[in-house]
Amino acid sequence: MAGKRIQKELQDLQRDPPTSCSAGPVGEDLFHWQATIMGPADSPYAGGVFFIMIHFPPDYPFKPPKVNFQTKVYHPNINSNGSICLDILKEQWSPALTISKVLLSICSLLTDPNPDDPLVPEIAHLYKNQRARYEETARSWTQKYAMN
Amino acid sequence: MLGYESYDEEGERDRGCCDRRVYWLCSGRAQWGLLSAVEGGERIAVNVWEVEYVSQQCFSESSTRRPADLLSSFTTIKSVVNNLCDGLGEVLLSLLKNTDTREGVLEYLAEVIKKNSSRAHIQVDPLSCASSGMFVNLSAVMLRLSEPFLDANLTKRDKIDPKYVFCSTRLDLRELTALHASSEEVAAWIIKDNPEKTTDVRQNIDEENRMLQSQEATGSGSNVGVHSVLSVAKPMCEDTLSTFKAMQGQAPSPQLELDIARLEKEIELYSQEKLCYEAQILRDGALLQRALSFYRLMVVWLVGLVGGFKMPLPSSCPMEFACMPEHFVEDAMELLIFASRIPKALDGFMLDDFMNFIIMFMASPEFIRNPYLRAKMVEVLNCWMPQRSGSSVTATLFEGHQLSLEYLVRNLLKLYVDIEFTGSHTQFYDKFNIRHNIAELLEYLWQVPSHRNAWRQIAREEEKGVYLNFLNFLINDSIYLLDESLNKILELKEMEAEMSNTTEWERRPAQERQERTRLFHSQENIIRIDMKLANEDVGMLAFTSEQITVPFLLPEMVERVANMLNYFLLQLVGPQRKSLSLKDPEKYEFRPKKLLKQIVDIYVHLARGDKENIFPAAISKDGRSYNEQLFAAAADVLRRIGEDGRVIQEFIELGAKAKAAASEAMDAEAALGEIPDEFLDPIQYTLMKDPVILPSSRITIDRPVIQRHLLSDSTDPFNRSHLTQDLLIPNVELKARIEEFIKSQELKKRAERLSMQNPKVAMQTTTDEMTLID
Repeated sequence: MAGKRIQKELQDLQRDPPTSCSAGPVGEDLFHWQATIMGPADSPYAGGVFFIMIHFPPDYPFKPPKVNFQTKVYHPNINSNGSICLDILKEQWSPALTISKVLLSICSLLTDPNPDDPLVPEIAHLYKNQRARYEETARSWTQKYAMN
Repeated sequence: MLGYESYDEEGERDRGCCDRRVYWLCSGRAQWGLLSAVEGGERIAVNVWEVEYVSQQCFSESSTRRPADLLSSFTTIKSVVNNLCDGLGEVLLSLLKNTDTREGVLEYLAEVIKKNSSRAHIQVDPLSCASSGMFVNLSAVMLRLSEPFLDANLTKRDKIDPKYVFCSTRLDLRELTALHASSEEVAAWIIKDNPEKTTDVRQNIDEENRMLQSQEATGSGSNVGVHSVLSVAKPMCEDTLSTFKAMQGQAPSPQLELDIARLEKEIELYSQEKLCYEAQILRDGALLQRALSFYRLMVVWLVGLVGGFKMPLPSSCPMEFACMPEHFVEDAMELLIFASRIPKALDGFMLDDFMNFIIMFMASPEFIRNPYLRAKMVEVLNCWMPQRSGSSVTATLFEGHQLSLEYLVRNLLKLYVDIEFTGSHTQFYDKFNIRHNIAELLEYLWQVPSHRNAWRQIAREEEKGVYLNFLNFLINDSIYLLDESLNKILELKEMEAEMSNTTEWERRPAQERQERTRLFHSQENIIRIDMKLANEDVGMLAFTSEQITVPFLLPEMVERVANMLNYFLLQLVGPQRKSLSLKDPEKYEFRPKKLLKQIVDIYVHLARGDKENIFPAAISKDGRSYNEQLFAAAADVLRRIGEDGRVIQEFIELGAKAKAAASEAMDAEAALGEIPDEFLDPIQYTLMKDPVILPSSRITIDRPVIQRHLLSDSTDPFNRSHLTQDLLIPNVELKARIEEFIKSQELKKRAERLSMQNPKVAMQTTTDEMTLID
């Protein structure tokens, strides 16, 4: 059942890929995907390529996919395990959402962090009070971990 | 006790602060009565310091003292404190009886409460609040004063006027969170019935006491909190200490030795305090008994506001009840939880009223709005489970009461469902803990025949109602938890491999290694917790499915149940099972054999109950994990681990049926060929059988798909507007076209098949045609 839905999503992604993202299965397993996101140009992540792992739970799409960054990112809503604090991946999930929409949301989260619901409070604090320092660190992490 | 968290220096400062407060009160109003009350206050304060002094006197180097020594210290302290409180009680009572001094005393007490209201917070600032000791003693005195109301039958409870809680000018309880009413509703209710001041002196006093009481009980509640923090802090400290000692073995340094000395001193201080608390609260059975009596009065009185102990509750919540501050109930529950942890503290106390109170309200959000407060009630019940309390008295509570037999399971199931949406941003994780408490209770109740019967009856009555919701969330959680922990095991093994490659590992920067190690340990913990909860959930599915199968086999459930079982079967016996092997699986509560047995049991239970023979098709329809070979592989494993032969046989038969259903379904699908997009369900991309229109987004969707979604979430998936089953609009026109499509495709296929079976005829026709064309 879920197979048809995921296959359809894959087709749509290949036919009409969203700008700056791509995604597809890892090897033969249709239920484990890897995605890449290009750091948005208007953010300190510009120029970086970020790898993301996607696992479809058995009750997808009634339950959200599990999405994790594999590349280290300096961001108030992404922690060192690569966990992402994003409402649509938890209680705001809807079966009408797709991987493509999730990836786009992650892109906009990179451009506009949500420091009021942080996963890493220290980074959120810096983001709120010393924006320049936050940007500097985020840029240097991008350079270190997300380029080549 | 004020400055315990801090060292001597702050201790001094604290002491000054407390004294100042006493003097400040002294300088307040120079009435004789008030002064005497202040004298009392000072004595309380003195008493507090006495206890601190005592802590050094009686409990220094406690670890080396003989138990008999400690015991005599406990007895001494107890009798001294009791004498003090008796005396204070008498002083206060005579001041309250005297009309000249009454007002002053009440005002003093109100002032004490007001100034210390922040003691009710989780973190208490020791500099701005009076000490825990002071509040324990104040509680003790107040409890003595309310004794006339605490007779066994609570005969005087009618004299307590609910309005009094709010018409006092001394304490403003209106701003506190109420059980159900919003603060505006509370204000409106108070204005509506113009408060008539009551003149009954005793009532006045008692009511005041009662309020004070609950407030200071919050004080003693936080006191209790401190106590538990301390008991936690000690082992924690010892933990640190042992780590330090271990490190010292490797690289001794003067700094470390200093740290050890400091930690050792801290532990000594902590245990001194712990013993003081023990002397004051834990060992003081009389204090606890009085507090329990007081809260018994509280709950009986509250129940009186809704018409007494009977179910069902009135159809709407009376304002008197709705406006009562939430902490009245919260304090009662905290006290019960606390008292349950002290051996023998509940012996001989009648808990029936508490039990009935909990059963009445734990699943009634229309009466007690806060889901966390209702969850706390379950925590109390959890402490009383016979295997935990070790007392047969609590068993009678569960097994010998009409209200319990009739409503306990029902309300636990209802709370299990309600707790999915607490409205807090942490609801996603909160529910697991709360459900863990409920699940433990349910497991116990399943063993009790009368409760099990009630349970089966609810499953029948609520087949499409709350029972279906319960089952749905149980399955949601099982999938989430088991999937999460199995995935984490894979990650953990990767990290383990990384760390065991010593040369590679050593080459990494120290900070990175530290970070990875920390992550490793936190993953270990997460796996352990998730696995424990998953085992519990799968266990519950296994034992309930033995006797209750109907809701599992409903159209909106059966496929997801099958998907779940197939998925876990694949994980446990599929090709990747080797990647889940761990050196010490028990460490993570991972018991693959037991899990496999339970999963197979569920399959077999459902097959036995499957009168309409829909389960095999549901199993094979799952396009993700179903594989006929898994059934044989699982049977092999089961034989090796000694599962019941009959179960294995039934399981293999189910596998064969599923295989037959699979080939049938394949034929049917092949017959359909290319399906037009408009016939496909927008969520699952499968051919719709019973298309319905969603009223607000106007999107057409297959009924079983939206029903399945609505079990977990009452919104339209396309625009999040509110949606329930009864609002779905059948798309009759589309349904007819789909049926027409299926029929025509089948006809077409049949014709093709016929022509294949009769190649001669076909050939003939072709030749004929050819001839014609020629």
